[in-house]
Amino acid sequence: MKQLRRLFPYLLRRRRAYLLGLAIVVVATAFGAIAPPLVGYAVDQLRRGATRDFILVISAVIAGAALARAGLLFISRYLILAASRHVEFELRNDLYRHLESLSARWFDTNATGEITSRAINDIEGVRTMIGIGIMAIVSTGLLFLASLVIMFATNAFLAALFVLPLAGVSAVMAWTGGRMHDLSNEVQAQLGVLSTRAQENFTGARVVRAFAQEDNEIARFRGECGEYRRRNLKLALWRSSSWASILILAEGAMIVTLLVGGRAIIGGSLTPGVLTTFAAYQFQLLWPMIAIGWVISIIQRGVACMGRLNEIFEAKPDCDDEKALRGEVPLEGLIEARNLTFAYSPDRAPALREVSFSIRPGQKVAIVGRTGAGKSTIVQLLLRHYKLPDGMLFVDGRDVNTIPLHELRGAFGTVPQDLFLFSDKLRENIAFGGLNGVPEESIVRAAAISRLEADLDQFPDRLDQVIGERGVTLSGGQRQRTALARAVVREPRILILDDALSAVDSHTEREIQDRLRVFMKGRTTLVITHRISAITDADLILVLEDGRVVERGTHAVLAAAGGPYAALWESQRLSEELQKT
Amino acid sequence: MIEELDDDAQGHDYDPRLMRRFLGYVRPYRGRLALAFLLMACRIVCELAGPLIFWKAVDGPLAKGDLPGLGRDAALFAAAVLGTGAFEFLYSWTTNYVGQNIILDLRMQLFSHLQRLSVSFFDGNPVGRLIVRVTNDVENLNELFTSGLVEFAADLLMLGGVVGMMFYTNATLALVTMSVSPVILLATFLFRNVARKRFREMRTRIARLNSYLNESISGMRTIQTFGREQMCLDRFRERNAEHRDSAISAVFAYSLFYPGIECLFSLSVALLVWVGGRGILEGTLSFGAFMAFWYYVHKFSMPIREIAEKYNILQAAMASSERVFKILDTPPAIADRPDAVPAPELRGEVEFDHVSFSYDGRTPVLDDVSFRIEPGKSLAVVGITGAGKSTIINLLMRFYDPVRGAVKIDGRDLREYDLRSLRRRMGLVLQDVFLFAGTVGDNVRLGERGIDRARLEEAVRAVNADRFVARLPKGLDTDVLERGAALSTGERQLLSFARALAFDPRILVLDEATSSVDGRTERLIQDGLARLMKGRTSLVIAHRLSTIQHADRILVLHKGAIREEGSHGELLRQDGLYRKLYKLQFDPAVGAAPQLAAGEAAI
Repeated sequence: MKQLRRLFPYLLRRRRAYLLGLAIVVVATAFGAIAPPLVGYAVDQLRRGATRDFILVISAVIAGAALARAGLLFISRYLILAASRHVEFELRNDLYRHLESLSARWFDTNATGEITSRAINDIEGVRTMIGIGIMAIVSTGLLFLASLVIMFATNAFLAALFVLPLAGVSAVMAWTGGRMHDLSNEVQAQLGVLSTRAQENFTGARVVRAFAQEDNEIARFRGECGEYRRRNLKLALWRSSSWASILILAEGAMIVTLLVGGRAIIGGSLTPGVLTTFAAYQFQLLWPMIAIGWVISIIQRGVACMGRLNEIFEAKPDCDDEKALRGEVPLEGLIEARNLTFAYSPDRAPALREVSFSIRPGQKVAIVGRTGAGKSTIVQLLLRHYKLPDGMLFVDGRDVNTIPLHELRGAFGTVPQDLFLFSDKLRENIAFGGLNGVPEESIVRAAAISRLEADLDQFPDRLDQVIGERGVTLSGGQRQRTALARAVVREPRILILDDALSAVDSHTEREIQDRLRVFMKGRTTLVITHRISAITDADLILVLEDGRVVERGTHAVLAAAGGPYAALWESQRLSEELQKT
Repeated sequence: MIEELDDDAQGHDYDPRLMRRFLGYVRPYRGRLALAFLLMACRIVCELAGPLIFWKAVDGPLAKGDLPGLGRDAALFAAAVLGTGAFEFLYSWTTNYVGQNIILDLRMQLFSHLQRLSVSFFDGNPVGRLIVRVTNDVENLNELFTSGLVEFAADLLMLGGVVGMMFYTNATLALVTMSVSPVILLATFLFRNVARKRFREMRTRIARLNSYLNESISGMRTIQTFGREQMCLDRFRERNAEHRDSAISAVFAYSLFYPGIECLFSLSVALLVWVGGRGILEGTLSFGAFMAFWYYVHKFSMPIREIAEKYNILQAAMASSERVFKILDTPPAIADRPDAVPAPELRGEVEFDHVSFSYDGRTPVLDDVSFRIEPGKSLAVVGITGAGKSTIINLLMRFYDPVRGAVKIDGRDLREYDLRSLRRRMGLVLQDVFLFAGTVGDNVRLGERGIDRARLEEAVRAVNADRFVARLPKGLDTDVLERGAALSTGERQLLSFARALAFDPRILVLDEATSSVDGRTERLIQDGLARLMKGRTSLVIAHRLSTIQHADRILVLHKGAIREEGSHGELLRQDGLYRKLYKLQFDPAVGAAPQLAAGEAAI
């Protein structure tokens, strides 16, 4: 029940629908329980010479009760099921909002697929519980109770004998249900094995072909398939026998009615009408008894799902605005790192060690170094995606930890290395960078600066072109230039280009550099790159190795120094030469 | 996930062609299937007999006060009930048995067919989609068999039986009570149409919602970096609301349908009471027959509800079967010719004879490449990224066939050999070592039973892999995926050498890894590689100076063509492409550079 506490406010907000719906269920149940004794009464009256009119009245009452019950059930179902959809809607929105507040570290440790599956399947599980689950448990429970009361009032002895097999149905469901649940998990697990084997085989197709292992692979797969069949048949065995016993028990109630009721009728202590009433209950109660097992599993699943959702809801962001204070003036773009040391986790080697630098507004600073040297980490920390101790990183002299996330991130325009575009129109992807409504001219200008306008002719819908998931319909260079336009449209104080133009050819890159130079006048630029030709004009170049700054200076100074930078410069000239031949 | 949701939204109408083809898989089990139908028929007979016995008991012993007779009838009734249960169990188990065997056959056929398809097929089809074919789609076909074929038949048979018994009991009453069934069928039909439309709409919208969610989670850092949380939440809420609204309109249909059907059945009971009651009054109907009739009405209600559900299953299964058959109908791009000969003991002479190749038919990747490797000699291929080096491997292993020219082994075109017998005499070591789930030993031996423990250990020792294997918790029997057994890049390479050596190939094809390893491991690798190559014809895409220096000959590939050829010393003296490449990667003056610019590693 503890797991469900988070759900109460949502249900409370829908209390009118739930209470009204459940109240109507009570009335509908009364209409449902009334038909069997009515028929029994009619049967007895027939023997005593009832009139045709009497029968007509009874039939009309049964029909009326059926119609009334259907109408009421419709209203209550609609109320409760619709309410459950509203709760689902709100819960999902809140989950999304909560996800947005979580920090990068949380997303690093939780796989995207896993989160998505929780947000989809677990919320569905919760909704089923508070929708059809609540509805079914109340309506079948009430119907069963009401029928029980009437049966015991009619004939306690027969009722006791009669209920026994029906209770047996629920018992069988409860007993085999658990076992079948386990077995079906085992079947699913083996299907998972099949899928892993298949994946391995398909991914390793080259190795399988090269070593002519096709037959061995087939034999191995056949073994797993055989195990899968074995588990399925075991489940089928349980399922078949469970269903067969339910059939027998359910009809068993009729045997009891016939034998015991029949003897009593012959003895004169029971009227045929009672027999009819009991038979009618058997017809009416069979499905609810079977359904109870199903409803219990729905509730169990719902509680488990809510438990998993709670784990997400209880996750706390690393970086929040607790210590933050809004600045009085907009950020200018003075960046300073003082002995910046950072490790992604305590058991991993530091990604940055005692890095210090200072960038004045309007400067262009470049960071070079091989993959894993810690270049992108600096960007992640500037944007406060990861938590950093106080006193290491400053913007405009303010510790980044004291700047509200929105204010801080609002000052940056970033083209990240692993850039992400949305499956939306090109225009929307560019406008995504703007802080408020972005006018058309700004989008066009941003597209021009990033040299995207020349590509527009390729797209039938130009800026309204919808790009596929993650921008798959674009070339690598087009993706990077779209991301650049997105950063430019933001008119940021600080522009960060993290390996931003690696897929753009050097000719286009030079054009972009020229345009950016004009655009970035007076703004701070931080460039991370492998291409030295793009940073020869930088005010400061930092060479990073293993998280440390090993060289710093301008291009002219570093190129002459004969250190790692000079070597990189030399190798790049060589490979450019090679590409040209 | 999203992809599949979309797949499902496209239902497929009943297609007799697909059904006929599917029935071909049922054929081997037709005996068992006939048995299942027989058992089902027995079950139905028993189930229908119950009310009949009940009727006779009520009108006979019960009315006459015949206690022993009542006992006899009750026993008979109990026998019918037990029979129903027993036959139900047997029928259901037989059906499942047949169903499981059919999908085993189908899945194995699909998997075996995929083993015949060439590498290009896997290069061109996302693995995730193929897995769904082998798993979920085949499962859906099981549904097609059990729900779509057998249970549908059972429901129809049961319905027919009940109707027959109703008419047998009392024709007038049968007509009166069954007057509701056209309404039920009509309601079900209408509901199914409405529900399908609503469902389709709902699924499209949930797919939209889920893909937005998935995208948001993948792109969360971008959303946060740009501070667009509120906007994205608004958009999510919009899609969420669309989904909620369509769900609620589906709820409307659902709320109406189930109580409605229940109500129609109750109405038929009311009709039964009215008409049946009059019959009893007039003496044209006995009390027992009245009871039996009610019983039958109740039995009528179950299959008629089920039948509507079955159609949806059928639709999903049709779509799946089409997708599965489509793969089965894909011919392998590389297949043995009918007159292909098994590869004999090879001398190991490799020749590329004016070979040109293109993956897409437009962009040439190799252009008129010719070279020869004498038996037992080694050739190192060098060049920058995109020069066409890995294509040479693809052609030599016959993962692809050349567009023009021929690749020859021992003077014979690869296409004339029985492919698998040829590949057995060749060994491939790839840059990224692919490890299968299983033990370290399994990964050396793969599935090959012929490689015994002694040969396995010898291969591991020969390539210097024995030292690290000895350090693993269970040595060769350590599971490669086990925590703590995580193998380093260098160790994986040694393992792949051992794998190639264990198969004792005549021709070795090797794509050397670029990743750097520590000095000690580097020496182990060089030494192991030398032993692996010894006495075999080797073609190596080389990234290591030692490998290049030890090769008998070096080929410089540039933009799909051979530009230079010779020994290390000769090529260095030429002062051409090779000299530049060499300087770029191995010159101590530029030494640190490739490390620094790993992203653009040149050779």
